[in-house]
Amino acid sequence: MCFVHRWNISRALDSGKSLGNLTKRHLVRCENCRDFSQLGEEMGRRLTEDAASLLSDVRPGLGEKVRRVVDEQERAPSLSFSKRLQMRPVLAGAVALAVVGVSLIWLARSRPASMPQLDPIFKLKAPTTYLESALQRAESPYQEEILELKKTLKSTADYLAARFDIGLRTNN
Amino acid sequence: MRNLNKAETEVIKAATDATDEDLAARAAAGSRPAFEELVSRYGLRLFHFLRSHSGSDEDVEDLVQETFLKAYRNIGRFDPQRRFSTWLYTVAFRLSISRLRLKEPKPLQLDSEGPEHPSPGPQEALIRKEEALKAGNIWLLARTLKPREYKVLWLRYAEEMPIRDIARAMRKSQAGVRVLLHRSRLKLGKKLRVPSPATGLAEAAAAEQRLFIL
Repeated sequence: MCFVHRWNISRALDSGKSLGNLTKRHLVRCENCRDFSQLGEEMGRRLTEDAASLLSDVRPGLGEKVRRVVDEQERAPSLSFSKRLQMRPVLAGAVALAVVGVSLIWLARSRPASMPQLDPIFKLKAPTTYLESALQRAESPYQEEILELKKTLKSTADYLAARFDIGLRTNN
Repeated sequence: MRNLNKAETEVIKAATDATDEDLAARAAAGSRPAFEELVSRYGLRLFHFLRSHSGSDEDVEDLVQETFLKAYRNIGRFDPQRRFSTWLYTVAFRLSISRLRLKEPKPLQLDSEGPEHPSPGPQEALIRKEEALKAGNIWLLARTLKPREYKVLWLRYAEEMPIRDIARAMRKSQAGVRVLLHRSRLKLGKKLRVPSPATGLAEAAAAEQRLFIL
């Protein structure tokens, strides 16, 4: 049960409160825990005193070092992007890789090896005119044929009318 | 050291009487002398607080410098209703943890708090302990503890911080801080009481010499 009482001693040291009766009674008969209690108090006192003696020493370069770096910070309030990249090599590497990747994709898309070049956009109107003329060219033989047939039919009708001297009125 | 004009000197004189929180508020408003006063108040304290980690004194100074730089950049975020020391130690603690992670990446570690002390080997630790016992300053012996144990002792006894503030600075629960303090006391107590093998050997050698003289 000593560990419970030592925990109680530690808590009392932290809170500054006195020990509970149960632990006090235990301390009377347990030398190890009594030692721990005394050592805990002594240790705390020594830690505080020795820290004060450490802090009474002077470390001359330290303040100057901090001031120098703060001066630099004031001169350059916000770091440039290139500086940040220098400070973070992993980030710089990732950015470089991303740039290379995007460039490669861009090159692959803009200059396909096996595909023909497309006409520039301002020439898009031309195919419509070509289409119309081609359509006309495609239609024209039929038109010509029809015209020829019309002519033949008309001359045939004229010949028959003259030969037999018939007319629509007389027939009726 | 840069030369200060009369007005600046007067400001510094006035600053020395101000509380940390007042100085921090002034520094947040753009007062450089107020921040410099904070640096002179806390520089050495942070240096000893961060000494628990491995590395040379120059490395520790770099970490102190980094802490103040971060504090300078973020001083506007400091709430003057709270204790400045807690805020500054929180910044220092977080930086030291991230520095430790960068320096010693250990993917598989059963004990989350790291080894007993990351820097020295067992022989070096023994020598350090011997030196500490000889020098008489208990903090040199405390440096052989785990960094977190050393730090919690520093905040409790050197800074005399309440448990609540230590918990905030070390990002732990108050119960966690109490447990850590208890464990640190037990370990430091053992180191103080039990003589090391080297001490035992020295005592044995001395006894042998006495016998030889007789």
